[in-house]
Amino acid sequence: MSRQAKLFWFYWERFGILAILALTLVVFSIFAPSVLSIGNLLTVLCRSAIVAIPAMGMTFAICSGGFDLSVGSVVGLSTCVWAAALPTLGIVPATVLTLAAGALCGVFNGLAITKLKIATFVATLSMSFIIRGVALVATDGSKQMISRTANPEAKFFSQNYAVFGQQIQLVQLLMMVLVFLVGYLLYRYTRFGVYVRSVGSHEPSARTSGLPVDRTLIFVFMLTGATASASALITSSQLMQGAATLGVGFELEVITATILGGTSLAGGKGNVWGSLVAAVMLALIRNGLNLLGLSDEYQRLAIGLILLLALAISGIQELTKEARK
Amino acid sequence: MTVCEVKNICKSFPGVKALTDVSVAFEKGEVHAVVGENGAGKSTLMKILGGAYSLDSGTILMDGKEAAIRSIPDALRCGISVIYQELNLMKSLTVAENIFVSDLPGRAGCVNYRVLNQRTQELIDSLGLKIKPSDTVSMLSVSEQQMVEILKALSHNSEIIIMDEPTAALSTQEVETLYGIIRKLKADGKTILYISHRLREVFDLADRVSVLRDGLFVGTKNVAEIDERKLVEMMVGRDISQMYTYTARQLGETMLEVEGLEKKEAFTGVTFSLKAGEVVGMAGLMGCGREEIAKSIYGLLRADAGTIAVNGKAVSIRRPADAIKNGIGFVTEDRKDAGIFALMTVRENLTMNILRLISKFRLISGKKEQEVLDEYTGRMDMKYASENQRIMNLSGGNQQKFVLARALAANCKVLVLCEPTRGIDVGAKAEVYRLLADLSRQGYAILVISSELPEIMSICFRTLVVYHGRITGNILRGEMDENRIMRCATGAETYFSEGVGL
Amino acid sequence: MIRVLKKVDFRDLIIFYALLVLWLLLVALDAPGFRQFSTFASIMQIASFMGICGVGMTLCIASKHFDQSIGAMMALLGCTFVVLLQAFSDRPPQETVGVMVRPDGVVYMGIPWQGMLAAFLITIAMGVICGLLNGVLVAKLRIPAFIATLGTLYVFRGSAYLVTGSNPIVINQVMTKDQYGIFNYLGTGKILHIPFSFYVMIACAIAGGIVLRKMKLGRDTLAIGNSVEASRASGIHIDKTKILIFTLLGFFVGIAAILNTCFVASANPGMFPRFEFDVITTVVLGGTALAGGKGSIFNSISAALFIATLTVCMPLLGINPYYDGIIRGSILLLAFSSNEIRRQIEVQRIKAAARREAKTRAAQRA
Repeated sequence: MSRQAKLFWFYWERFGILAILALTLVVFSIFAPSVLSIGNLLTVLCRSAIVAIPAMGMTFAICSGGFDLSVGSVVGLSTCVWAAALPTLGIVPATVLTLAAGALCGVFNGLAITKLKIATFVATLSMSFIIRGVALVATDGSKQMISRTANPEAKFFSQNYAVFGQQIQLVQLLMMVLVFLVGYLLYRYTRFGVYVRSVGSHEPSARTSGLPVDRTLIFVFMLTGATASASALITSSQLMQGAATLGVGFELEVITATILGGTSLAGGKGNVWGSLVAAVMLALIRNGLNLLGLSDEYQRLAIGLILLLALAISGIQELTKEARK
Repeated sequence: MTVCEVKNICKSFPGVKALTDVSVAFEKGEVHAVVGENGAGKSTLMKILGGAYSLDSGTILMDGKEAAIRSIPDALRCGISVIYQELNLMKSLTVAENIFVSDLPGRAGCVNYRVLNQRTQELIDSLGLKIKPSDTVSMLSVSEQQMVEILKALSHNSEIIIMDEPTAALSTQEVETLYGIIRKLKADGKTILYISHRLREVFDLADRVSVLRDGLFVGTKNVAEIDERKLVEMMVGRDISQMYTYTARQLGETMLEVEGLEKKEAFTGVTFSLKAGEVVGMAGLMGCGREEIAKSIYGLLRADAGTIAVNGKAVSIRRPADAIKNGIGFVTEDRKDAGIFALMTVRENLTMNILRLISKFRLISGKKEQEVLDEYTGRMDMKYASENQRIMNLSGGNQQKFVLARALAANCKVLVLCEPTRGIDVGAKAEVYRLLADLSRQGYAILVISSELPEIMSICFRTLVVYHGRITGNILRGEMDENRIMRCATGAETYFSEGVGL
Repeated sequence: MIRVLKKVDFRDLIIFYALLVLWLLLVALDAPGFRQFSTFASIMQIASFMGICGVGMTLCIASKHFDQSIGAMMALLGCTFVVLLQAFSDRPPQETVGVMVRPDGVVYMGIPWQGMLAAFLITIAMGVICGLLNGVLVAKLRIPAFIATLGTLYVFRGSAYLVTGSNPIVINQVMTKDQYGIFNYLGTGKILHIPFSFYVMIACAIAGGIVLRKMKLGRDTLAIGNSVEASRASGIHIDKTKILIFTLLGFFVGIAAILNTCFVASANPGMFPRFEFDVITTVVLGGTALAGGKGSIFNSISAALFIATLTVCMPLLGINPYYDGIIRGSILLLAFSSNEIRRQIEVQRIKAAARREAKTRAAQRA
């Protein structure tokens, strides 16, 4: 590969998603200029929190060489826990309890993977059946409504605040920023971050180097579970309900954001900021197509096509590498 | 002074007794070689000392006190570190992170990268290497990676350093560097346990040598009191000094002609030919391009220029299927990952190249398949329990015979063999040599790429030497000696025997 | 016969034994209605859709890939099928069922047989094309199957909404009574009390079995699952094989989609959410490792029957259907951890034996 090509791929891996985001912005600025208004952009930014927050956890999971297919089920369960706990416990204990529930699901995932030695794919898939099953049984399949009058504080996570004259859902935005700051510091500057990259890079080596592989993996899935719960808090607060059926297929959206962000499925390399940018971009596409009057089906199609486009570009990279052989 | 002693160690795996009642003592400041055939239990013993395996029974004494080594961190704490045979690096991490991953500097869970890189730089400088602490390991060459692995073991500053075949991936210069490191460590009073298949290294380096056979301890000897033949005898339990001798044979027509083969950044101007009945060796240092040449002849890599002719006819080889069609067979150096189909049966493994020939109406004929298996079982003396046994359950030597038989079954008369005896034990090696001799007598033309000079010297009629992607030597049997081959392989001279055209 | 039996490794049939045990258990528990043939018929009915896709998925997983777009593909193909029927049905009415006047005022009903055939063929062809798309993305653009099929999942699902205009379509609004009879038969008809679709599944399974065991394609599939490098060195056309496998899967999904559409007599772009996971778990439960390199169609079919039995019989036993997920997940965890548990037991056994031996040896020494 020539030097220029090498440089190109070096930057593409890190900042390619920004280029795609810019492209999306340009396209929308032509066809639907209203997308670019500050108010709308802020709204999009806030909305992206629902996918972005668990995408941070997923970044760690994928970087550690696996992925978590139980995120959607954890969201379903967590909304139920929050909605059920809120009236009796109050918002702070209920929130803590919900995050703990998500983390607990993650611990079970981690135990199944490390102690029972089940492949992450099947382990988290099996757990997703079980977790949603537990939520269904506990709620008997019914929605847990949160009363607007009895628990007005439930709106906390989706409350609109006026910032620079715009009504935005500030709490989500702050949550997202906080989660990503913590995530980035964890990834970049801590022992845990090095361990996660080690395990994802080559697990047997990490073991022979004497690293606490099992503990690292369990913690990674705890993180994923907890971030899924955090996203569930926002969902639940918006809908003012909890339901076991919420979040079906949600994990795919989260994985899409993470992969678009440049985290490699091969493990060992993550891109925390990329996941954030990708989540924002996905929200932007949905929003822009909405404003263009194109409904849900087009949004799906567009996301699929963009994902394939991004993948095809990294595919070309693979091909140029192979052509050298 | 005895620094470490193991007493009555036993270790079993499902179906195998790896170690039975092994006791051996290691002195402070010695280089102690541990040798044995494959499966003799030497790697198991080292992994127990290194904490990767837990022992079933027995004791480990460090400085006379019983040490409980149950995990890798335990072993490090007791002052034992290991350089494993397989590279154990995390490729997407930096050199510094790899070396200090189990002991990262910094407080409260954070990593102090400044201190980390500084420490790594000191370590690198102490060996005079040319890598940077912040390099990503995946960008390094295999031998540089091996050096990182060695640095990693040194970083613990352990009293005992175990090296499991550390030279497998190193070039001669780097082997010299490693020898230097080992002598320096020895002078510092460290103990080195050195495992190697290359007996010459044992005699170069070690003070004492311990031999294991079939999981049993055979004995410890001072290297000064023993010669190579005796050592091999201890290893295999019988006298095999007459393991293999070359006998002259009639050469036939030229079967393979390679002319001006070139691949950018790998090799250039490669020209040679093989005659029927000829076994030709190809020697050269790691990374000199010999694997690439072999792979290009077989179509696994695509050459940029040059021609290949089989039986006098020029052929175009763009992929392995073309090579097989033209009667060129190939055996890879990486049997486990690129040679066998581990989960498939021995029969399926054998017929993989010839499915079209044994199919009728596109359905594979079980009867014909069985016939092929029976034929080659008889011809090559392969041992297996049933035709439906998975090949992964066979010994390395038997697996290798199947890989070779796969090429023969496809009616390939030109055989390109990369490291045909890598990772198989002494007994099976002799069998493979005999097999190659039989094949050459039957008129096959064989090219053997090998990094073991003794192997090339004992089985080849002629040796090609590759240096930096060029052929620098073409040496007939009578003129072959290790010195001459090594000089050609390091570019110090070129030597072409008279009377043989390339 | 004996020669064939000799070849079978009976240890590899665990899921088949589990199925038999489950059935015996249900008989022993005297589950209400289990001994009726209609219950069995519905088990077979449910198993058949999963089984047909499972045949293709077994090949796919044996080659160390998998396809998570097939749920969306099922929806897209089902919708395409119905839309095609609608498109071809614009003919004067003969004998009719249901509402006959379309909103645009055209009175129609009835499809010429050519139209019907065309709908079948085009749907299957669409399946093949969808599979081909997946195959090309994976083989030619070197995109890992997991994400390539994630991308096509969105595309297929989005297209399903597009072709139907987001609405469910009911099949009997577009054809005559006789014609509807044919479709009804494909979906729910029975021969000797066994659903028609089950016969189709058996046929697909036999075809898949022949491909996997007796044809070069099957050997190549397993070879690729074992080692790509070794396959390349054996002269196998890797890209071609991969594309063929995905295409074959698309073909099977096309068949399953048509049968299912006939069974429920309607199509809905949102149907079969996460169906791919049902199929993948079925196949993996049948012992085809996600790590590739081995696979058994018979076991996949057994696993499909096993899961269908659970789905059908839990209500019969009076178990709250919400427990379905918990039970299914637990069975999966149990099945996948059994290897590790067995290994641990073995290790403990060996350790105990070694300790005993050491003791006796120490005693001898003393």
